[in-house]
Amino acid sequence: MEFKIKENDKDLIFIISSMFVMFLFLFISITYYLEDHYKTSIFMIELAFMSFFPYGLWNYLKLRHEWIYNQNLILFLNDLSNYVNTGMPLREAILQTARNKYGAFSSVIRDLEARLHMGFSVADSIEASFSKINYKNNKIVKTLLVIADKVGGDIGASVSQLALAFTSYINAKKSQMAAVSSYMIIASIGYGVYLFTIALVFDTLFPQFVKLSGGITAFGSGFSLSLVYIQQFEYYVFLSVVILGFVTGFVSSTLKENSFKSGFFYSGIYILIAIIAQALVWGL
Amino acid sequence: MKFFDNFKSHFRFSLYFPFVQKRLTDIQKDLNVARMHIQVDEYITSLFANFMIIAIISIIAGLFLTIEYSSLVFLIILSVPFIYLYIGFKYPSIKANSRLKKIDRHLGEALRFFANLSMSNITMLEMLEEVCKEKSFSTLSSEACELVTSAKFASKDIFKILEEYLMMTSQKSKWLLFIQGLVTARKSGSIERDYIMRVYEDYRNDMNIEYMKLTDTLSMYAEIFISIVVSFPLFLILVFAIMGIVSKPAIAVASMYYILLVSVLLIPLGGLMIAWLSKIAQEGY
Repeated sequence: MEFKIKENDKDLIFIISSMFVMFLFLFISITYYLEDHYKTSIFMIELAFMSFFPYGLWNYLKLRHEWIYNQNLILFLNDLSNYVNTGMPLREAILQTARNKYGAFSSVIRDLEARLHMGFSVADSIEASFSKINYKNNKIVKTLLVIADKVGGDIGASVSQLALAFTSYINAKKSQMAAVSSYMIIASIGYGVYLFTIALVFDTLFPQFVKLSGGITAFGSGFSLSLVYIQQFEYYVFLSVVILGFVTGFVSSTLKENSFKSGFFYSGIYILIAIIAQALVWGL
Repeated sequence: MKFFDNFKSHFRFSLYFPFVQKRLTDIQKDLNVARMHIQVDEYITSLFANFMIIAIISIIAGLFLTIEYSSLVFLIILSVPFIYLYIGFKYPSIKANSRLKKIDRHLGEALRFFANLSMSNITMLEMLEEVCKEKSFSTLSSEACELVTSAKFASKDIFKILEEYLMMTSQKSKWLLFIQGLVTARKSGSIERDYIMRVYEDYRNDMNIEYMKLTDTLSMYAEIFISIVVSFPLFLILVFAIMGIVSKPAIAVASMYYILLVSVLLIPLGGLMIAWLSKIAQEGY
C-alpha cells in the first residue's frame, strides 16, 4: 500500500510542528523573563514568532509557482486555440503544442503528450495529467477542456473563449497586483519608520534623558536604580516591534497576494530585521 | 430535546399574532434563500419559546439587580428579550442578504465558467452540475448544488426550478438578475448561450472598473494600517515611556503595562483586522 501525504495533511503537519516549536520558545522566553534576562527573553519571542517562517516560505513559493504556472497555462491555451481554429482535431493540436516550452506547465504537457501517444482518449488524458496539479485555474481549465472534448460542439470557439477569458483575467490581475504592491511597500516603510524611531529614541535620546533628568526621576539619579525599569521598558517596546513585524507581514501578504499563509514568510523577514535592529541597539 | 420540542409546540399561538401573520410569507422566503432548512411556523414558535425563556430569566435577573442598582438597570435588562425578538425577526432576511452577497462575490469567476461551458452544447442542468462540482466558487457552487438537487428530486425542468427559485425571494442581487435573465431568455425563445455571453461581455467590461475599486479599497486599508497600527501605537509608546521615566514608580509600572497593552492588544488586533478586511475585499477576484 502506497503511503502518500495529502496537501491538507502537509499543511497540518507544518502547522503542528511550527506550533510546537513556537510554544517551546515561548516557554523558554517566559523562564528567561522571570529571571530578569530580558534580552534573551525577547530574542526567544522573536524565534517563537519566526517558527512559522518555513511554513510561510513554503506557501509563498507555492503561490509564486501558481502565478507562473497560470501564465504558462494561458500561453498553452492561446497556442492550442490557434491550432484548433485552423481546423486541427484537439488531439493533434495538443500534440503540436507539446513541442513548445511552457516553463512550469511543461510537466503537465509532457505527461499529456505521453498519455496521448499511449493511446488514451483526449478527455481521459487531460483528466489524468491536469489532476497532478491542484491549482484553481488548472482545475477549471481541465473541466472545460474535458467537456469540450466529450460533448463536442464548436471546440475551436470553446478553446478560443477559454484562452481569451483567462488572458483578460490574468491581465486585470496583473495590473491590480502592480498597483497593490506599492501599498505593500507603504506598509514596509511604516514598519521601518516605527523601528527606526524606537531604535533612535531608546539608543540615543532615552538614556540621555534619564541622565539629564536625574533629579526629577523617581528612581534617583541617572541609571542607578532605574536600570531594571529601563530594561523592562525596552523589553515591552521591543515586544511591540516584534508583534508589529508579525502583523505587518500579514497585512503585506493579504494586500499583495490575498493570502494569510504566506504572511508568515513576510513576518519572518520583518522579525529578522527586528532581530538585527535589536542586536545593534540593545546588543544580544 | 423532546421536552424542548414539546415546549416549543406550545407557542404555536404566536403564529396568529397579526404582526406575525403579515410577515409569514416574507420570512419563509428569506428562510428559503438563506438555506436555513426550517419552516416558518417552526422558526416563529422557536423564536417565541426562546423569547419567553429569556424574558423570564431577565425579569428574575432584573428584580435581583434592582435591589443593588437603580430601576434603570431593570428596564435595560427587560429590553433584552425584545431586542432578541426583533433580531430574530430580522435574522432570516440578514442571512439571506449576506448569502446573496457572498454568491455575488464569486459571480464574476462563475460567469467566466458559464461562458466557457455555454460554448459546448450542454444543457443548463449540466452547466449547474459542473458549477456545483467546482468548489472554488464557494457559496455559489453550493447554491448550484441546491438547485441541481431540487431539480433532480422533483424531476422538474431546471428552468421551472429557477423560476420557482426567483419567486422564493424579494431580495435583489446580481446572481438573481442573472437567473432572471436566463429564465426570460428561455421563455422568449432566444438562445441561452447568447444571453450568457452578453452578460459575460458586460462583466468583462466592468472588470477593470471593479479592479480599480478594489485597488482604492486596499489603498484605504493600507493607509488605515499606517495610521492606526503604526503611527498611533508609536506615539502612545513614546508618551508612556517618557511618562514612566519622569514620574513616580507606581506610574512608571502603570505606563509599562500600558505599553504592554498597546503591544499585545492594539497592534495585533488592529493589524489582523485590516488583514482580514483586505482578504474579504479580495474574495472572488
